[in-house]
Amino acid sequence: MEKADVVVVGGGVVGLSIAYNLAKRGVRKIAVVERRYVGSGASTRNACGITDQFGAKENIALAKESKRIFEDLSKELGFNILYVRGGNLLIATTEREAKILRNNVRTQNSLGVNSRLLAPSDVEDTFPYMSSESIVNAAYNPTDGKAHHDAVVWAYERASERLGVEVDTYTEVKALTVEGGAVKSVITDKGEIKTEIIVNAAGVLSSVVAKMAGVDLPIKPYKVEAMVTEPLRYFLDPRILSLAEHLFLTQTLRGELMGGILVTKEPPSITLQSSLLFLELFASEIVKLMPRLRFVNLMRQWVGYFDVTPDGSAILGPVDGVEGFIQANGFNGHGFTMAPVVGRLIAELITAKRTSIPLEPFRLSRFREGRLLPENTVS
Amino acid sequence: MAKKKRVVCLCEDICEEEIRAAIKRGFDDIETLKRYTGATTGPCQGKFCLLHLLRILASEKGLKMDEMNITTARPPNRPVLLGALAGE
Repeated sequence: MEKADVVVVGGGVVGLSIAYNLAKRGVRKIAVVERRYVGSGASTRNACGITDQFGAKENIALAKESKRIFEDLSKELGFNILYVRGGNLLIATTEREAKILRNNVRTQNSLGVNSRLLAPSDVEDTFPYMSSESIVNAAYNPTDGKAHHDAVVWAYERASERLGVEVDTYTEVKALTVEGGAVKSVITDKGEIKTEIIVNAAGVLSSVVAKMAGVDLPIKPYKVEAMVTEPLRYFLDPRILSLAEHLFLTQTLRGELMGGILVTKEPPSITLQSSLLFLELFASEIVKLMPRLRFVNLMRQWVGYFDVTPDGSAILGPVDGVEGFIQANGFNGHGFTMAPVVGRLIAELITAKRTSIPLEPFRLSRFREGRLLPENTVS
Repeated sequence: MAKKKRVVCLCEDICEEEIRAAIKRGFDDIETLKRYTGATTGPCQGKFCLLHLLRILASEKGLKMDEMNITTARPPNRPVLLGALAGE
């Protein structure tokens, strides 16, 4: 494409959802530029979770709407995303974490989210395969769910392409042209695309892309290592997350258990190097929570990234000084949950200049103005 | 007698027709073909099947083997019990 109405940088779940929603609202010429294959970053390395168990009211409002969209997404996009309404269980192993969960559940309930606290004995009663030995408190939302992350990416990609979106894979952005304080074009290794609107949905590389337009994003990469086991008969409905170590575990409909830990001990960096340390750390934590998993084989491990912002919330919307440069990044590991609603809201912002849920609290300028949006949960 | 099936991925029980059908459905990159079909994700982790998969993909796309991308080989070399990794 030589000239586009909108260029989306990043063919992950967020970028593809934005492209789909723009096309659905009648935008004709949309190009999605992806460095590798669709979903090759965090979109297909995550825990597949769909949850509204957040701490900040603004994040809860977005996530609630995203959950609603996910429930009918297979039908809307014409592709089975393997959605299961299996619930989401957050675990606190210290009193400090338990306090966070109690506060969050109170906020969530005030906004109509039906999460509830579970005592350690409730956890064992509800999920007999779990050991509550290390658990101080837990928070559970039975209406949360999961979907297959690859399938969601493909569903958005295919639906976008049917509506005329051009998805350019293995195409790397080299520069962004800005003239007179407004974006003019995206230069890739395959050529130049003229455009007046660029959406930066490049995940953990969003700060690199923003820099090309002279914009500084306060996003730091945090390494998350993950693993998958051999397939087992389906037994694990909820997705499980322990606040300590940000440990997660989920079971796909293929039967594999997928889990991981945020490796916080390493300084922010981008390497895709797997470690033995992770396997040992993860294995000892997970067999504490679910003792019978000691008899399960681990098949392979990989590395992904959280795009972490100073307050834990995403950066969404326009930036001061560069007209037509829209951000949809800094999701802190919540990009999968947020993708459906963010796609719709960014499309509303571009086509109608106003959004059905306010995006102002998520603007980049909040960091300069000191109006932070503190989020204390994990994805 | 039914037509003989050619099995590509022994672990996940996937035959050549299924691989070719997935490629025709647009999963024509080794990364997405692997994820869509599940080939190379069983206990052998692709040691038996990845080359077959690449050969079929190359023939469908009219490419030579040395023009193909390849998926990342992931540790561990063989499946390991979580209990063993936990030091038990």
